[in-house]
Amino acid sequence: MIKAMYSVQEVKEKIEKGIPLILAGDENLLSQLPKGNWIGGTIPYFMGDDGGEESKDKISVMEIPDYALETKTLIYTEENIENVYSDAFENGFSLILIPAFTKVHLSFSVNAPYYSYFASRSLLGWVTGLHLNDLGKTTPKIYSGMEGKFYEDAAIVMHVSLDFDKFAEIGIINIFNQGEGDVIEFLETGFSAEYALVNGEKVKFADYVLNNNLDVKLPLAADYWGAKINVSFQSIDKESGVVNFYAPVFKEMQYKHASPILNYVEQFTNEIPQTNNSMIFSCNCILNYLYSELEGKKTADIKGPITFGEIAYQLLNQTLVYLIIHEI
Amino acid sequence: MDIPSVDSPIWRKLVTGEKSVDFSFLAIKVFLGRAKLMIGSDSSEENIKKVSLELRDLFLKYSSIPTIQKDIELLN
Repeated sequence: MIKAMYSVQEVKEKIEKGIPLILAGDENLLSQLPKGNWIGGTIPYFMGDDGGEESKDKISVMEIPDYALETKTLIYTEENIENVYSDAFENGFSLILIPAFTKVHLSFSVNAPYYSYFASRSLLGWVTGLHLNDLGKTTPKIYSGMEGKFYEDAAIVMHVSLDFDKFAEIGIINIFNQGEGDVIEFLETGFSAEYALVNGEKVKFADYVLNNNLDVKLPLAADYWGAKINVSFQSIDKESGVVNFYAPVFKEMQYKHASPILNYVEQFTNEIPQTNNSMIFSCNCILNYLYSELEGKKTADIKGPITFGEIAYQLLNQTLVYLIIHEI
Repeated sequence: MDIPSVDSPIWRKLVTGEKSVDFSFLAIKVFLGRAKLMIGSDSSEENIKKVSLELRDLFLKYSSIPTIQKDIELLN
């Protein structure tokens, strides 16, 4: 079993050895690290070595494999995030960290499917966050080890080049399925909706959710040719009648409210692919962590940060994202 | 298994949603999501051809990957 969680001292030693690293941890820990070839994002929740855990003492570490040919780290704002795919190496993968609630987060979430090279370059990553008790007290951040500084309003990407005898495949595990209920479409793309078309009929969406007692712990799910892409409910503003989401709903897509999950850990474990240790990264959603009470529970040998949003080419919610390196 | 030629009608059918196939390779699935968005905002013949070509290029790029072989079979 590969260790995932390390002390600050252990991470310092890895940085000093020159190993390229993707890190996740509390900002007080990341701030103590020396300059080097690493990027990091803030979060204190993990699927750790002993299962789901909250920690402000340990850092989650992903080492870039030694067979990687080259790495380059770039910073993106809403001004240049559209280049995130075209900047990637022709063969390899790119790992992105985006601070939650920022302009670049919103811009990427809504526009990524329109960017050049979308889906033809392997981009994955996560949205950085904070302890839920610290909401309003501090902000999600990303760290550039090369520069020895953090950003609150920019994304960071480590682009990794691989030889052509290897291929980086991004996968997702989403145990939610579309329910048998209404077909929901939205009039505009965005993180909120006042109106929706339910089975073709225009309704005030907040009223629809409330009157039908939709369980908002269950996401809306769109079917992307067999892949279920979730959009999670954030809040319902009864006064304005606006429903807010953790990811954008897209105007052209059809959604259904997901059906209930009986046993998250059991269903999730059943869907984990057999990879012979070729899975080098994974992250899971904080809503899965909270709603399925994953603290102290193991989901097979899956480890990594628990995040405010997962990225597999585009922003996802309530989904586990992983990276497998294939020999071809 | 060969990838259908540029002229095959399969590409147009896939990007316009006329034909729905449950592919297994994630990059193909999310690309088809992109196709729906792009053609939804511009359904001109020129754009449909452009997106169709992009889809075929994606299959070509990934054609040596073991996990996409089943998806290539579904094209024929």
